[in-house]
Amino acid sequence: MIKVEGISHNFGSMRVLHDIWFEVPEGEVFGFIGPNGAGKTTTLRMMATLLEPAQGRILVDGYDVVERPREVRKILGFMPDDFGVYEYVTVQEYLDFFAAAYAITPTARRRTVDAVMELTDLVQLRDRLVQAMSKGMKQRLAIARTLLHDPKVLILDEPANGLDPRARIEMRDLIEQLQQMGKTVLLSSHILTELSDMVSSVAILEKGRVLASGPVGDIGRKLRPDRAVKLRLLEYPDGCTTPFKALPDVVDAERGPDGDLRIMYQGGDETVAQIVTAAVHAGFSVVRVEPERDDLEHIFLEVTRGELQ
Amino acid sequence: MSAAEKTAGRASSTAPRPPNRLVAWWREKREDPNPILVKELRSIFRTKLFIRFLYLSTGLLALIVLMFGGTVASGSMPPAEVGQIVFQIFFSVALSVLCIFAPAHAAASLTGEIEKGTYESLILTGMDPARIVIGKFMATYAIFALVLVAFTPVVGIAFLFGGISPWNVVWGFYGLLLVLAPASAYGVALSARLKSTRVAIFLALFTFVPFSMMAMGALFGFGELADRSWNLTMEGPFWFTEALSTRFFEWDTLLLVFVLPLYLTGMTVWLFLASAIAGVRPSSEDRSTPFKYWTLASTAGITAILFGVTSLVPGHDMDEAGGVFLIFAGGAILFYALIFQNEPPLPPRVWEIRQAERGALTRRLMLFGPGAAPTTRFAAMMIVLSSLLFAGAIALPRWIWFPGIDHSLEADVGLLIMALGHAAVALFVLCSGALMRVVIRSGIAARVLSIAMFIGLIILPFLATLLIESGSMSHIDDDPPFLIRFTPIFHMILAWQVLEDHELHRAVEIAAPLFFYGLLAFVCWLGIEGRVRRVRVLVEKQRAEREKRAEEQARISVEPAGSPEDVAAALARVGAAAPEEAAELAGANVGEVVARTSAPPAPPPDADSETPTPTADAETPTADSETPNADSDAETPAADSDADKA
Repeated sequence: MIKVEGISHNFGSMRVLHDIWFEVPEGEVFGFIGPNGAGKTTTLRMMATLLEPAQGRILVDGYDVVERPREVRKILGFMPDDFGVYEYVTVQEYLDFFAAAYAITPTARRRTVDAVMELTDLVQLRDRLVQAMSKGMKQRLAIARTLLHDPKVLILDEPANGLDPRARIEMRDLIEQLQQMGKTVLLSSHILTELSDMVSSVAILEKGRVLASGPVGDIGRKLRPDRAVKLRLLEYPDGCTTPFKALPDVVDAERGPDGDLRIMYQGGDETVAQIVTAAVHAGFSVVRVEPERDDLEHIFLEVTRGELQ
Repeated sequence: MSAAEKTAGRASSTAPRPPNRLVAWWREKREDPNPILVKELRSIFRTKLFIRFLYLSTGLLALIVLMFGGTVASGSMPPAEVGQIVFQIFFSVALSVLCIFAPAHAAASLTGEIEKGTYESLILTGMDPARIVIGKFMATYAIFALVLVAFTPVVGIAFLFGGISPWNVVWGFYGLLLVLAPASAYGVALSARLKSTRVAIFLALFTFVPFSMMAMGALFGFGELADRSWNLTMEGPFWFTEALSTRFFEWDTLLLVFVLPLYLTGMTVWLFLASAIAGVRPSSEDRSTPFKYWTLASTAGITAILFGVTSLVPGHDMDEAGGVFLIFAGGAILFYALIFQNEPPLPPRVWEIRQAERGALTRRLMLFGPGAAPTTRFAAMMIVLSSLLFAGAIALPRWIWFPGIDHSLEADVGLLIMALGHAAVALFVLCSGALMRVVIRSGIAARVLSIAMFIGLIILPFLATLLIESGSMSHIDDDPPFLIRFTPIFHMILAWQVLEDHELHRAVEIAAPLFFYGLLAFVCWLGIEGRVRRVRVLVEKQRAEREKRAEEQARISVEPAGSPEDVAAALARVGAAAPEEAAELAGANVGEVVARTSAPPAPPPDADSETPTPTADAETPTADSETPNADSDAETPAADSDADKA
């Protein structure tokens, strides 16, 4: 849905983006990760037609953002990091204003605004002045605004920034809902825990360069071809690692610092099933099986190798 | 006639007719007004500051009017005169309020959006920049029109003394509403060009207020002239209210006090709004076309006004008056040159793509479209055309109303000299400025340099002449020194000599400055065209390289199909690596790869067809020759993808 092809950009004499390439597949929730100052917002602003890349190009649904900005704006909703709102209008007036700005006809406007308020859970607040809303509510209002023209792609720059835990959960639910509606969502954040539950693919950016991009699992596998599963047994007899070491796909088995068995293996879920079967055949009482996940935090640290500013 | 026929006839006669375009447009605007206007009005009426401003300004105005009115009334002045003075004070103070607050408020309209962080959201809605700008303009206009409504009761004080009629008040408010339009548009134009609200407000105040003070001074001056010509009794800047009330249907009043101000205000507002739209529009889009429409309308309007105003002049003054009018009109011609010298070398890519999708006629308009070279062509055409039109519009009334007047030929030649001189100088300013813009790649720097050069060309020859032979300045009219002949104002001095002193033989002296500025303009124009071509070649090259890179990257990102042995064999066949090495790279069985590469290649399944398979391409260098039009297809995507697979 979004193709970023070799973009570079300079602010004055400082090069902020270096030959960035990545692709956001259709219908995915894609995480754009990087520390502050990595170039995330610059890249997102380019995608949103607000900035022209010095080199390279960005295609959104096949449209070049520089050559076809109008078409791109029709299919894209962008919520900037430091978005502002009009203070002296009510929620409904605010959304009605943007619906009119999107050239939605007066008859369809009312319906659209109601539907978007319903989706973003703003119906109760329809007559409240925007001035009197909390940060989380304003964030939801900003997302509601980006949804008015029913865009295929949503770009949300730091959507959970400054939200309390409850508002973050609500935001995550909303994003899941949007994904279920078939929208492609691109989220940026420097807080990995914000994204870890939501995204299926990521691009990791640091100092203006993409260090890795693709599905989280693929990146994890590339970084660590050997995967691991932790087994907690009721008892750990001597030589409890032996039955597992005998399995063809198991690379190693050892007792971890927490006492659990840590079994490194190659392959997929079928190997995990073999490991569990071997444990049962060996007469071990298995209490818990916990495959180590390719969590974002781990991947990020692996990819950036501690070079964070 | 049967009942059914009667009913049918009635039904057809009462069937609703489709509304005409104007009605439909009005209905649409009423049902769906500009969202910016609605939002701005909603917001402003909910702010306490505005309500306070309304109270305070009205109260202060009433206080000032009462204070001055009381002071004047305490003397021995007749009540009618006191009423007129109170009337003038009311409208002057109201005008000052508008001139100070309207541009300042408008100046914060777009910069405020930027500072609040709402501007980008607004732009991303895809709303037309013209609609945004007009919404902002209308909002400021409506707000201050409301302020005027709040002021209205105060003018009632003047009626206590008499000396004014309700029509004076109506025309007074007409004048205020007329001034409010450029004041608001100017603020919006500044706001669209700047990023900081503070700077925008500061600039609005420190440029519009002095300008409006000068305009008010000029209004006083015109009042004196009107007083002498039309015997008006009212003094002060709002003298025109009496002229419009008492002699509206006299055509000199109608033209000079009604049509001319209306036209000038309209054109000024249009120019400011076009400038604001260009400021809001991204640099990747066409910014110069709104100015081109403005220039066309401006040329037509000035031509009509010059004709009308010259027609009002008595026959014996027509020569001199015509010369003065053309000198002022020269300002407009020079202004055209300054507007259009700030174009980037190439037209915006977005615009080019859209134009390419349109009809043949529209594509031909690209000759005058955005971009340095086409815009210079358009502006040059307009400069020459307007110079001749303006001179013609001034000469025409003399030919029509006073065909047998003396020295008509000298007057015509004088006007022609001035028109040609204006055109040559303006072409030079246009082309030199446009060339500097494309060379140094900074619009502001080029414009400043261009203006500085123009001023330098006016002043320096005089300074040099003073230094070299100061005595020669005394006979500058009869025998101008050599250097003075190359100043951009020499043609006006010369034209005046021909017009006023009827020295027709001196007309040939225009050749020197005409040749000088014409040649310079031509050289600069060649420079612009050459530079633009070079930039286009460079950009096309960069675009091609970018696309090539994108294709290469796409090729790299596609995972090779087939087993590791297939990949290794393919690598070995194309000579990328030795079979053993390729097998190791691809993680394939070495023996199998060696066996496959040593065996003769299997014939492709569709070898008989005209299109060779990728394998055939890769393996047989002559395979392409079997393909019809193989060379011409070499750059097609199909050929590229074949190469990718190979």
